[in-house]
Amino acid sequence: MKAGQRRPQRSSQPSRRIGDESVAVTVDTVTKRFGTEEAGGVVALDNVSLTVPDGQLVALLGPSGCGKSTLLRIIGGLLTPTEGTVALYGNEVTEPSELTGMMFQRPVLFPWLTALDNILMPVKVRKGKAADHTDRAHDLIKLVGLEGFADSYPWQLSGGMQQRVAICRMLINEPRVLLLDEPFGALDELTREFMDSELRRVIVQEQRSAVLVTHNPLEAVFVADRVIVLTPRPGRIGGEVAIDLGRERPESMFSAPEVHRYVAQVRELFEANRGERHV
Amino acid sequence: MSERTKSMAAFLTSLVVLSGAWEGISRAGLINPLVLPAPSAIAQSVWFYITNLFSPISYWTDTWLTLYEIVLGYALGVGGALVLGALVAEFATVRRVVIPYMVALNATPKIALAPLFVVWFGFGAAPKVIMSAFICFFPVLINTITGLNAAAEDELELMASLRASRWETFRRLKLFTALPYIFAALRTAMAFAVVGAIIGEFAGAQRGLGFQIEFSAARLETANLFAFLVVLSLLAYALYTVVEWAERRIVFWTASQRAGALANRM
Repeated sequence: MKAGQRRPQRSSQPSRRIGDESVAVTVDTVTKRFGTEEAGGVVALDNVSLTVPDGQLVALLGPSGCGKSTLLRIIGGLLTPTEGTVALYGNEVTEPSELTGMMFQRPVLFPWLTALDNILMPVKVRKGKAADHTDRAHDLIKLVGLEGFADSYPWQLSGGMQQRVAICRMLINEPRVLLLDEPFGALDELTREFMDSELRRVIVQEQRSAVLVTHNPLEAVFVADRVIVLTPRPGRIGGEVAIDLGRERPESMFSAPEVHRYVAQVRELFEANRGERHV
Repeated sequence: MSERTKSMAAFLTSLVVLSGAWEGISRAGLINPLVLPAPSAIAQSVWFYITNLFSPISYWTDTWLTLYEIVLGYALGVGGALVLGALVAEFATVRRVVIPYMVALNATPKIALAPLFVVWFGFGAAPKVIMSAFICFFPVLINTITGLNAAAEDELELMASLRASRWETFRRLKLFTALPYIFAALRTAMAFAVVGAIIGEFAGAQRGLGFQIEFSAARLETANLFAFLVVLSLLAYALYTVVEWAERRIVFWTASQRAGALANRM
């Protein structure tokens, strides 16, 4: 299937008001089927419900193929659910919303634009004046520690630096809910841990809500306030663990015993829900 | 010595040795000069060409005419291919209607149409321009379509998540993704445009470098024929260099451009 065809079209119709307006994300009994059952279709998500309160960081943890990325794309309005509804602050999601900002596994920076122009690209797409947002862009560059690299091209930056630029680009339009699809999956272990602590710091400092998709229990525990475990094929909610590690989490916490207690707890939940292994 | 100097030295040495050998063989009378004239004879003919550029013989008229045919043909062929390629890539209906005709047209040996163009458009510059445009159209069309469809899934998802309109996605993402593909075709097309203009002249012309080549051949003035080949090759090389220069300026972000790849020096 071609990429463009399965996306919901932009419409001017006002979306229905459903759910709680004070809740960042409301996922209500969402089922997603790809293809029809007769044609050997796949049920990616089965009757999934969850909420993300305003200001909370939630991790969706599951093995590959559990539908966690599909769920993230449904929240982001890139895919429509077969059944059920998704709402952002009480507004039903039928198309990509201005309330959300996305990050992908790759930085997805345009090599023909400098770091600064990549960060300002969403402003231009929205027909905004880039000049009005340059100060904000430079603040963001400072926030992620990229001072001096505004005029560098992506291919002059390391993988970790490229993802920092992607963080800035995500934040430039002031989205309230951040949707993160394994954003550091392609980085090496040490860089990833550092980027996780940076990400947590930036999101907390900017007071955003976030949904982080990951298959790494340590990353989920470290970044999130709540870890939701998804079962594989079809994706269902297997349980959740509240992570009470405080708002500020320095990188040194990666080796803290309480972090590893949570990781053990999450793993247990994960194992209990895995069922038979299909490796 | 730098790699570049070494390559240059090796090239010049081989050039001197080869043309020296060629000159020697010619002078010894081993080859009929009607078949293969000596380098010195060709050089004399080139000199004759240069000194008669603006004499009453006016080789400038031939050179200018052929250059005009090439450049105009290239502009029309490339322009048409870019517009049609964009329409085909963006609109499914256009694609369904146009593609069968393009496949059929591309399959016909294009050079075989040169006499038909003479019948349709006469002996002036028009049939040469059209032949040139026709030949350089297809590589650009194919690469434009391929390039405009080359954006990665996550790049398209990014644009969708930013609520980008179709036009915004086209001009901010797809067009730039397509540029390296388009420029690869623009280089090929530049060489094709020269071929088209010359074939057009072969099919019927009163002036032009292609005409002069044919005229020299008919009169067995082989040294002149070689001289015009030299002029034409230099002209083609200059035009190709312009396209390459534009490519380096515009498509600066690809790995090959960044590395200053060998291909750029060839």
